[in-house]
Amino acid sequence: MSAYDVLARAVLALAPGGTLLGEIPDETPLPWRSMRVSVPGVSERSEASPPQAFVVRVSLLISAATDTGALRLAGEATDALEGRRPEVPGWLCGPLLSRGSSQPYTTNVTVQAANKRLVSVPLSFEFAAARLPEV
Amino acid sequence: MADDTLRGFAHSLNVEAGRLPAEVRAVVKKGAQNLKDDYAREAQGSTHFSSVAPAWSYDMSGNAFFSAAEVGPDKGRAGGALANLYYFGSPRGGGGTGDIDGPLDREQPRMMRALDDLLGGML
Repeated sequence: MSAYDVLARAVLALAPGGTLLGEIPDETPLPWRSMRVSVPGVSERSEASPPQAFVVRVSLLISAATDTGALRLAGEATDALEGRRPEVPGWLCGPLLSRGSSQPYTTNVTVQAANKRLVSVPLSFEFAAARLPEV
Repeated sequence: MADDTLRGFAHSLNVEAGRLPAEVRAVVKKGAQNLKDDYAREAQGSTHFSSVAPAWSYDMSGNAFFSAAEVGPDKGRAGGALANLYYFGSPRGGGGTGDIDGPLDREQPRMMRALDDLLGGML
């Protein structure tokens, strides 16, 4: 598995139940918690050339029917992720650090049952991950 | 005599410190302008969201004790309503290809260096 796969799965394991990586499938009931994990690049490389250390960015978009619902879920997600270390065999991961969030905003998606617009709150985290040398 | 020297020093410090708010504000404003330009340039290169570029703006606030800038896309401007889709994706998780971290990562060291230089020059 790639660095992306193992690190993304490890972060997902820490997230609140119901969080999905990538797009939320049709018919999934609200609230929606969509997580994206990106591995922007190698920050340090060993002399032996295999990539060693990455900065991993984690974005979470929480969508619910109301402002207060979205904010409550955002708080739960922050509590679940902030300061936690993803555990991945063969890797040493630093703690997830919040990079901030945004105020809830109204999207262009309508919640049919409530006849109102869906509200989203984005959260952003990052952590450092280093691949341990094989012995 | 020593008393005069001390009084003189205190006076100089007072004069120098009085300049500080305006100069810090200028550094913060310059940082906000750089961020706005960088975000706009990045959005301009997007195939589907280039209309977000002109929506970027910033607002300055502050007083004698602090300076702040709020930088972001203005929903009242053309393209501003698309910015949340560009940076955060759809509520279902698709999209969100805009780089919201890159410009901040690039500007932060520049702005900190400018503040360091300013404060170093005052002391």
